[in-house]
Amino acid sequence: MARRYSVQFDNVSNATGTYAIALVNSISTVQAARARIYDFIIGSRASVADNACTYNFQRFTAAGTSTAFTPVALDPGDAASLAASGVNATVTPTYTANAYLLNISANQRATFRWIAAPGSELVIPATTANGIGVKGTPTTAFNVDGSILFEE
Amino acid sequence: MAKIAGGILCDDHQIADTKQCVHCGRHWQWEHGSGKVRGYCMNCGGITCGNKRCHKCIPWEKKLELYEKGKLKTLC
Repeated sequence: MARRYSVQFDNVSNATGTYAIALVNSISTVQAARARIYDFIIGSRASVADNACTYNFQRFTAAGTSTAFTPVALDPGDAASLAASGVNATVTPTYTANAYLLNISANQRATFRWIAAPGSELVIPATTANGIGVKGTPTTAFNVDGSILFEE
Repeated sequence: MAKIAGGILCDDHQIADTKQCVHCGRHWQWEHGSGKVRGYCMNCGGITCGNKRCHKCIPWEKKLELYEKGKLKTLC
């Protein structure tokens, strides 16, 4: 049975300049396990305002620079994740052109969630430094909170 | 009708479905009458995203394997 993990981002700006709100990537081909993103939740605790933002899931081949976040196992009995994750990137990952996996537009007032049907997850290949990042393109930047759930 | 590959919830209400390309794994929100041209692969038995790179049939799992072996430059 697949092991499931959570990556959380807390009070992170969705400004275009931060390049990635959150990301998940393979550490090494040795792991021989693909990470699969199956759930994404995002909302904002900032003061109420009408700001729109488009969130893009895009593939990358190098992770750039971000604040490392150790994925939390949903089952405490599971081993540590073989994948790495980060939040609030300050140096852009090397995104693959046109490799958009999911584009969503949402208002700051709404809490938004995307869930994959079993077998339809966003798959990260077991190739070193390959991963998927979530980028924000807002009309006016605001801070967001949320989680990415993945299995491997 | 193509298989539902995902769901979008806003404030706990499901507001839309997403579909997935059988050749690149991309999801998109299903909108009737959007006018966007998608495709259908008779070999894989599923819809494709409409991207030119997905016109040729390389099943998604096969594409992943080729990429991990270094025989494919990009996944999309």
